[in-house]
Amino acid sequence: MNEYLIIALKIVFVLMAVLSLAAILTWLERKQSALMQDRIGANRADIFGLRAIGLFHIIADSLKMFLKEEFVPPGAQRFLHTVAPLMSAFFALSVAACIPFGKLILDGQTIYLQIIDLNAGILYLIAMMSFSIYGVFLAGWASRSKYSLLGALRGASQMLSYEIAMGISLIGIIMIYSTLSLREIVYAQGELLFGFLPAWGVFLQPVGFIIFLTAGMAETKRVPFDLPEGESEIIGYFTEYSSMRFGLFFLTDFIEVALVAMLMSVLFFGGWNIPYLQDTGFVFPWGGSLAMSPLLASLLGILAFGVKVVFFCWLQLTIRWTLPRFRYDQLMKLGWKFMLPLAMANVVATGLVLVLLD
Amino acid sequence: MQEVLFYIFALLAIAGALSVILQKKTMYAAISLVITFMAVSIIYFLLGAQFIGLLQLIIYAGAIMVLFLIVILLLDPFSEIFLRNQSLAWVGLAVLLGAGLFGILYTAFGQAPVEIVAPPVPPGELTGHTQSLADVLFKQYLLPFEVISILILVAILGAVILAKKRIS
Repeated sequence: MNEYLIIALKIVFVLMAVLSLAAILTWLERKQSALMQDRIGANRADIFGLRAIGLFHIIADSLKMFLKEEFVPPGAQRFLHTVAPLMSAFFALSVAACIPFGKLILDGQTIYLQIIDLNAGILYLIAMMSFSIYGVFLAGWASRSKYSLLGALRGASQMLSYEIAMGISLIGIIMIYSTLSLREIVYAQGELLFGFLPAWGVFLQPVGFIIFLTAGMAETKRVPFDLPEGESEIIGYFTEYSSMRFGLFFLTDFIEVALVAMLMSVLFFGGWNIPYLQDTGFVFPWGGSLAMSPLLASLLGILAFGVKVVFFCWLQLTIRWTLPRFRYDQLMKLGWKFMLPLAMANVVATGLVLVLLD
Repeated sequence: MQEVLFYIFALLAIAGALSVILQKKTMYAAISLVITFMAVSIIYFLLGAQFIGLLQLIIYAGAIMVLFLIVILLLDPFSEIFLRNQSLAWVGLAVLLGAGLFGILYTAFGQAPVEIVAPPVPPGELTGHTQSLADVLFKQYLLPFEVISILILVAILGAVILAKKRIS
């Protein structure tokens, strides 16, 4: 029974972590865009005069979403129209099931903050990310509107194209750490290269990291890859959605931003690892060491993962508010004629280096 | 627990497969096929074959079916295409072929000496499946594996040549 309780607690923890990060990102997006455009940003929502730098806008927004009228267009496929936003959020959240958030060492026992460590974890990631197409696609089709349909077509073809580059960029990581399990990949990144450099994915696979970052941003369907949405031209696949059904699509985008940030920290930036920090404290390659209890070290690791995730969320928001939208042909050219060959070349180069070193 | 889950998802797979041929609207038929693929992949999971289950999800449900859906969408987006085939001759032929296939499978499974039911996988020992599959593919059956990959390459090149613009 105890086992099931731990799993249930883990599920609650992971869902809460991802959802609250996504909710905070909606606020962060407004504040950061305001900062970058020399504005003040959302700060009006208050409770008894307390404004808390606009944080109450998260509650106000969600209340607004829930209270608005739900409208299904007359020609729509009712069932699919209702199911599409649920699917979109469900598949995005299920990616989080195999992300290792950290480990907790209590009395010599190690508890992993990870719902399940699949033997083929990376494949699970790719599978769940590829399913996020269905939400977009069915939403666009079931709405029976030209603009939704255009958005759905663009979305499906964009996500399909970039998924391939993303999958191939991860093959390099799989080859180097020779495992598909995310937990083992994080452990492998705790080693040191040449005695001083942490064996993080970004040092071993710099090209793979850049491809993954680009393809990951394309999967989130936000500027500069927001063609499925295209606010200024077609509104996109959720044109015919209102109230919380639209809210779910809106939230899914931010969940995906959070997930891409988590995946980048796990796959390329060592997950819960801090350079030179082991279970018993810091051991520096130049001699010194700093002892600490395993519990403190593991808590520091969880904190480090959080800091990395927040950093990558910030990076994605910064890119989103810096670059303009791609044209459709530019998007396809970048995906198929530049990123795909580059990812393949990366795989071949990694293989050659591994064979030569062997 | 595993047995209950198996029956639930096996029923779901069969229901999805029936729905594929009974649905009148193409889009719904395609979505039913997606459900069947997902249910089958969960059955792979229950057998402990994570790698194959995930490949089933990525390749069939995640990629091929999306292409199917895009094609259906481009053919005729809003007016529903109705699939209808009332010619009795075709129905008879389909029943005949189906019965033949069932007969072949029945005799094949009846004669097979192999144990079809996988040994129960103890929880916590779900590791090593990718590795053991790789051992079999890349050590024991390396030549057939490479021959199959050349076959796929030929098919891809054929598709490219068919799709290429002709320069006169």
